[in-house]
Amino acid sequence: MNASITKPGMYRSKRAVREAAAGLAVVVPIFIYTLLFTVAPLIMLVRYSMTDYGVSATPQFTGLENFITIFRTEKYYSNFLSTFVIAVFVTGLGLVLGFLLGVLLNSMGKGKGFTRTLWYIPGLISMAIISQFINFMIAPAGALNRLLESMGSDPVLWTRSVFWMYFFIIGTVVWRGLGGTAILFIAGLNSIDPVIYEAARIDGAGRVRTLFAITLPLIRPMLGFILITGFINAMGIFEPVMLISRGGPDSATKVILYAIYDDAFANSKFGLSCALSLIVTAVTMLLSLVNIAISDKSIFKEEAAA
Amino acid sequence: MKKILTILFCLTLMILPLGACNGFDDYWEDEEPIPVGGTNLVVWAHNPLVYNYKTILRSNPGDPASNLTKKIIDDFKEVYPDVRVDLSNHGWAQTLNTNILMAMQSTTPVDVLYGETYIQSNINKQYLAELDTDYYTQRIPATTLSYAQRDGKTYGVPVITGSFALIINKEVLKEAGILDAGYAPTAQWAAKQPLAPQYFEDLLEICEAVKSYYTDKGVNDKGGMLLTASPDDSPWRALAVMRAAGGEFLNANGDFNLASPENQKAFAMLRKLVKTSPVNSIYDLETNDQFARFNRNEAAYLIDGIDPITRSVGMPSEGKIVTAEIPVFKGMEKKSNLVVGTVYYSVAQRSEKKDIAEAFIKHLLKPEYQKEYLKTQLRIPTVTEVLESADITGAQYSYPLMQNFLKPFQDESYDFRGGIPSFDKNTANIWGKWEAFIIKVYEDTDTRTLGQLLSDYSSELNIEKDS
Repeated sequence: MNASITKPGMYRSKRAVREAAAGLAVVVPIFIYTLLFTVAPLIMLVRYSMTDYGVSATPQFTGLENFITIFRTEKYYSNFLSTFVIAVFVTGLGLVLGFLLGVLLNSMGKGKGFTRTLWYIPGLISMAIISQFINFMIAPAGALNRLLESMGSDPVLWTRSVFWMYFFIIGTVVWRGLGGTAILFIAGLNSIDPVIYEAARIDGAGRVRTLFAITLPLIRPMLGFILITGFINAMGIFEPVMLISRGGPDSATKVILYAIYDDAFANSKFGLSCALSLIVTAVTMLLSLVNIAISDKSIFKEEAAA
Repeated sequence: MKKILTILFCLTLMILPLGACNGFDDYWEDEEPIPVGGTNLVVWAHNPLVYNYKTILRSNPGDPASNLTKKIIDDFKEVYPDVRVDLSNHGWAQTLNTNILMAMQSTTPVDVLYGETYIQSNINKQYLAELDTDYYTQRIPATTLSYAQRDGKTYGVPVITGSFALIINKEVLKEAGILDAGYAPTAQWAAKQPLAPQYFEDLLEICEAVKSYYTDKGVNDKGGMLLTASPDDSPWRALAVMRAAGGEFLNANGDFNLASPENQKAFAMLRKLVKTSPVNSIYDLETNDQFARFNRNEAAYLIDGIDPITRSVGMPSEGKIVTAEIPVFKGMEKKSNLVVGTVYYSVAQRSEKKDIAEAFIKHLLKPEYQKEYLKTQLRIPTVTEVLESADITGAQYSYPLMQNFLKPFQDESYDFRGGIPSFDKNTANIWGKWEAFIIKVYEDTDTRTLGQLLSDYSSELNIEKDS
């Protein structure tokens, strides 16, 4: 009798230990990884951001001087503005075009899989290769100008135009990420029960009405996710700027990550660069929190309404 | 099965771009083991060494530069049999500078590293070990060696070097009527010596004539002088003209003084020369774009090092390209030039094998290799004994196109100094501002006078230099 009482308890205890061990086996590596590759660098970043670390190999403590320099230097504000402009356009265009592409691909019959793969391929190509291709197109004697000349038009100085440099940077990033965004939207669209569409059709709702009254509200969580991740990624744009515009013309497209790179590896100001990195981390976190708060609110509202 | 195939297809697509980013050369290098009880000498290798010589020799066993590297390494291993020489390449110019900074701030093992213009900055940062000054001063001309010295101590050894010359496209001059069908100057232009103009003023007249010829025909993508605003190239080309006018980037105090009368003369000449350029060519960002224009017969003249020739036509030959000494300004008969493209080899301060590392650098200076650098790669040797050797001017090494690159090293009448200045900090800001400035000089749309423009930019550059 006693045994029958204690056995399940023992069993539960053993199972609890096993589950705890399994849980730890999953958590500990992630914890160590986060500690080593996120927390430790962040601590180092904070430490070096308060030093004059550049020409001399030994960092000298300077307190908040680097932060004061950054806040007093106009060019960093302009770098943040460039980053923000690119991020807004990349996220906005990516969202709209990705959604339209997702709807289009989802409504396709034959060849759906192949077309989806085709759209996803740019995302697999290295940004360095894409940028080199763009450079080949926009050089003063490049392919685009040759094409214009062959049509009797004057060549355009793409690399000296602020508008065109923004256009090519934003265009490249949006085009490269379009397939991925569309696939996320397709997943969202497929999660909507077809019965709802059927009911809407019976109620006499047209395509536009269905889009705004059913599709968009029901994929709002997916929209929120794409918006948040897209904006965070867009804030970290670096390669196309470095490889296509090099921050030009006249630093007009110099994003904040490029400024960090320049200060660290070309201007030999590691301390200042760390301080700038810390500010960018804080700004990105803040923007993410705002985004999450907004989308959470909408999602909860949606759930409450349901 | 379908899924597996899709995954494999995607993986292949992901790997291909990686391959294009030149990771494969290293991957396929033979992994030579470190001798038992021996040591691994980590050598950052650039010209004249070919870092991936094994791979190249596998596909092209006759490649001269790779065979030379193999011989250099094999010979070194005969003297140091317990050393494995581990070669790797880390780029050039700004990329190299970044890689050196990153390597020195980490624990990456480095014994021998190479450098260029920024070697002075790396001395300041205490990245480089002091070398055997006596040994090198006895063997290498002071002009090239001094660039890697500080307070009488040597921190880098120039293994190969270069200079600038006027590179001339005969086809363009012929088409514009400056040369006749046999590539000899026409009677009208004979006195200006279009194949070897003595004065910048004459060069300008020829360039203007070439530009007029094409403009009259409605062709705007061809012209006389090829210039660029690219921060990688424009300071070098400008310096060649500044030196010819008696100017320099920095004054005796180490400050920018672009508004000096000599520099004003040079920039005024550059502004006139650029008006003869093919339209929009100053905005070429890549050096290769400019060389491609030259090779497409879009310009008659280019002031540069040996690269446009080697990249355009390979080894010098009697073809459409000839070279001449850089002209002087009328009234200033002193010839000038600049040291360019020098590859300095140094020993890393934190190397634990400094003796072997320096032995390797000394090994690279052997006269037999130095002659081969010229013969196989058109790189100018740095060892005095070789530069003065009859072999260099003799029949064996007599490449007509090379003589004008070699002359400044051999001719004592030259005012021959180093290259563009290097800075300890704010390098990106300084050359970024330079690019904006030189575009204003070339575009000639700024309302300020040239003197005022030069003065304003000197002040801006000095603030960056000192902040």
